Amino acid sequence: MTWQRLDRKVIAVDLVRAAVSLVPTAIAAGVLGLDPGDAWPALVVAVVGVLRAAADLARWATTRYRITPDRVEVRSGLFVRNERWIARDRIRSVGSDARLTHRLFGLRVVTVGAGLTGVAGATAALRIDAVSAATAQRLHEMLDATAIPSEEPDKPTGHLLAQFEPHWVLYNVLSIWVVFAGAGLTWGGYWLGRLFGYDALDHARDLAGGAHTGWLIALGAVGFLLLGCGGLVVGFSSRATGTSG
Amino acid sequence: MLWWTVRDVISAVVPLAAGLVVFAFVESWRPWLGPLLVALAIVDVVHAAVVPSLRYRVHRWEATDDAVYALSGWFVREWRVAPLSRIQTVDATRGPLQRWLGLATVTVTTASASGPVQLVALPDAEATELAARLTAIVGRTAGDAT
Repeated sequence: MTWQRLDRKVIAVDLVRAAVSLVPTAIAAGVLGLDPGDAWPALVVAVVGVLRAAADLARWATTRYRITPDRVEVRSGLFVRNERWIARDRIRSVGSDARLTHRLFGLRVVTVGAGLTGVAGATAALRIDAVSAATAQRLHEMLDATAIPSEEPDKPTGHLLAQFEPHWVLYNVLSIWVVFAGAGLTWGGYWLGRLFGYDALDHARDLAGGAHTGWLIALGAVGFLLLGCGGLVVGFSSRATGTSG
Repeated sequence: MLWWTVRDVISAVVPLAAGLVVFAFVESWRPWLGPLLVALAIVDVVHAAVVPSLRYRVHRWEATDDAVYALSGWFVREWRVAPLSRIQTVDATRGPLQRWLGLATVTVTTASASGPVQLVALPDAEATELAARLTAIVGRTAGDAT
């Protein structure tokens, strides 16, 4: 196999990501007519988004990989050139995944594990980000001789140990994470408002003017916990549908 | 060895240059900054003259058909052996400086708890040849299923 490039559609993914990162600025400046200075968080989002897309384009342009009978090789990097060789014999796992923007363009990220350990447990020795779904399937077949060639789910063998129950959501909500989820969502929401020049804290202060402090704290705490519960329920159901579907 | 020299010179010149810029613009700091810069310059010159050749002398490596050996350290000598049957990946990294000098750093990764074995600044062609040879032998050596 000769040297292969990543899929061209990665460029489209990067362009979409860059465009999405410009949306807050466009809304803030175009629709709401804000001064760029007032909507500086939106500008930060735009600049970071565009720079990351550019970096990803550079990665796309410099990455080459090939699979030979005895090893897998990848070359990448613009300033710091990196080459990696993995003997086929040492490959432990081959996997592929796709995030939303990748799926829109029919792309898959292929990860090849070789039993490396990193900070967060096992890390992928190779990450081919990204190739088309068909190429991903071919890579799977090339790298993993025991791979099942079709994407059809297997017929269940063996007996059922446990099955997902929707009422488990109660156990998920009744945990300390409610507080953290609430805090995270409040924080995220506040900055989403700031993105468009809306300071929720000021607004809340105006609303609260004159009310009793004790009531305010109680109300805040209840709202906080409800928000956290909502966040955990959403997270739980998305994970549940993710595993069963 | 040249790579170490250039790297040391760069890492010496950058703070010196920053110091000189401050020296030129902030007058009130001059009385104490001047002697400090002179002392720093002397230390840097001695460092650049002596340390790279010492570094070059203490680093040794060898790759046989059974293992990769790397020896390093000034006072505490560290001798590392990576058996080929345990090698997971072989990397060659070239930074901008190394590319300019035609060098490469080869990293041999095993699942060892004390991290990968690094062979610093090999000649470019030798690094590529070594990596190819290692993976070829690794392909022939049956892994011991670890």
